[in-house]
Amino acid sequence: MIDRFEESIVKLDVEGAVDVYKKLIRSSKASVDEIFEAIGRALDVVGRKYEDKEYFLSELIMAGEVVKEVLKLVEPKYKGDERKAIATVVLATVRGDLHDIGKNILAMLLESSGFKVVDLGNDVPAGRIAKAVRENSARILGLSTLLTTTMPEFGNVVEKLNEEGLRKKVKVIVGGAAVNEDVAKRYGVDAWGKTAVEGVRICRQWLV
Amino acid sequence: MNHRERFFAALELREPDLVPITDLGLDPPIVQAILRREGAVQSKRIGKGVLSLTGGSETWGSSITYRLAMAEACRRLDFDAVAALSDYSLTTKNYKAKPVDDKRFVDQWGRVMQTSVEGKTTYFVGGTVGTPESLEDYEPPDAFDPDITEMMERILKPVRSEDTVIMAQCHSAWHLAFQVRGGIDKIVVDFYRNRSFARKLMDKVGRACQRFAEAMAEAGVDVLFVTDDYADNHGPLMSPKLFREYELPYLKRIVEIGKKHGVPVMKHSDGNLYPILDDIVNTGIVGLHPIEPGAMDLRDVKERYGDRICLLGNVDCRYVLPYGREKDVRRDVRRCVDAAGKGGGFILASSNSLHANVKVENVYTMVDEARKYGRYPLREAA
Repeated sequence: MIDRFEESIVKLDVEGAVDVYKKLIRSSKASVDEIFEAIGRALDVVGRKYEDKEYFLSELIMAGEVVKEVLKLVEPKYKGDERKAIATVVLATVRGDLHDIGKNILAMLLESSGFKVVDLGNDVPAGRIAKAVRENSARILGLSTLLTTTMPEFGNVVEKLNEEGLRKKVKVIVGGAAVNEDVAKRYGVDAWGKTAVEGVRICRQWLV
Repeated sequence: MNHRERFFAALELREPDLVPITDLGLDPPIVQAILRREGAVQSKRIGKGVLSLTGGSETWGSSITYRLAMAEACRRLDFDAVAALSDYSLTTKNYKAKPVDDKRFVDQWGRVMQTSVEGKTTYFVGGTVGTPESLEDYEPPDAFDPDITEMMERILKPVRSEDTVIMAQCHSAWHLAFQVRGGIDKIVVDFYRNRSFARKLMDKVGRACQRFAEAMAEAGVDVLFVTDDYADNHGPLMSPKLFREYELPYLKRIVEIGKKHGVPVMKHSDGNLYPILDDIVNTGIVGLHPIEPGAMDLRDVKERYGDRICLLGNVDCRYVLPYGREKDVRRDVRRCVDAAGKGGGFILASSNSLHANVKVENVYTMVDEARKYGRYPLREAA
């Protein structure tokens, strides 16, 4: 039955996924951990379909919606099991930029994949980002900007993290339409994600 | 050839004397810098027009001032066409942006906008339609309001007297609908789970957009430019299936309006459009802009669609125009002309707009190189 659950997520079938989930829990055929593992596998399939252009941004969003609906039901059990989020990720669009579509999609996918996301919004100064990393003991920081003119802010954030002794404690990933490997190197971050799907994959790899 | 003859030759897939030049947008600092450099006397300060918290007749007046200044800057740059009108900035005299807080405001379309002084940008950050009741109450602007008609006439009258082609930017539905709804994530979930709500929203916004296209065509513009963005670098923002179901009929409708008035319709969209490009071209558009560098390939699109549509673009405005040296700009202009100029059917422009961070010297270099290198018959590309 767990296969059917995964399949419902991949098919973007909210009612189907919720229905199978209820049956799984009622019949004790799957633990909460197994449910989370199944969600992870389903999102991997969705991610691959996105990369193969069988699915598009709309389907990524909808897969996130399906998982969100399931998680509404999982939540009490999840707490009961004291199952912790796999890591905390702080996300922000850097100071001077207001574009946040990509960041929001990444936030949704990370949450669906079991991360705790602290989303600081857009136009966020370096100081506030460093503060949030410290206060949330974040293991990962995701920075986004669409504009080439605001990219130097990546460097300012890294500098701020260094100043506050946080840089070695947090992995930094950047993204945005004009971001590439050169940008990642130039500003001393750990990785860049071409798409939100790739971003999630990198974050997960960092925790292995 | 004069500007019009040159532009329309390219649009009709014939070879003009020179590759025509235009751009979809020039931000106020660029307009100001060009007019200053040209020694043009500005009686009024160029404001941001509608993208500000002021509103009322001041906004109405400053929108007109900005558009006229932009047209003048395009004329000074020797552009062949100017984007004189935009449905973003056509307002009534009593329009007043509704402040949300000290940074954000609701505009006339019902979008929550935020300004970043540092980033020199104003961008949508939220919407005002989230429930069936708010959709019922939602009132998009009416293009046939006498104030809007007057605004269009005030802008177009001086521009009409020149031989520059007049372009008007409008929308079909998707772009404004997802912004009014508050985000792509929200409207996409509506597409899947709340179909009747999504259809009503698209239809309400779509009908308002159609009235703008009608009003602009009736006001005498030469070209309609539908500017809804459909894609990011990876691909379309919605699947081809959703695109065909929810958005494509509205794009077709604008093309039909253009045909009814004898006004060619062109399409702008950022991003990688390949999976839906056949659908877009089959609507009957006559031009496509900007074939975004890095996401699509100008030469490839020319080979595949160059016998059906005119291509516009695609001088890089992410790196080359803001940061490039003179030789980088010249090289990029030559790249565009080599890729798409052959046989006509190509109009040079930036890969999005001449935004606030573009170097003005590079705009002049772009025009200079296009006028030199873009002379027909073109030399054989290396």
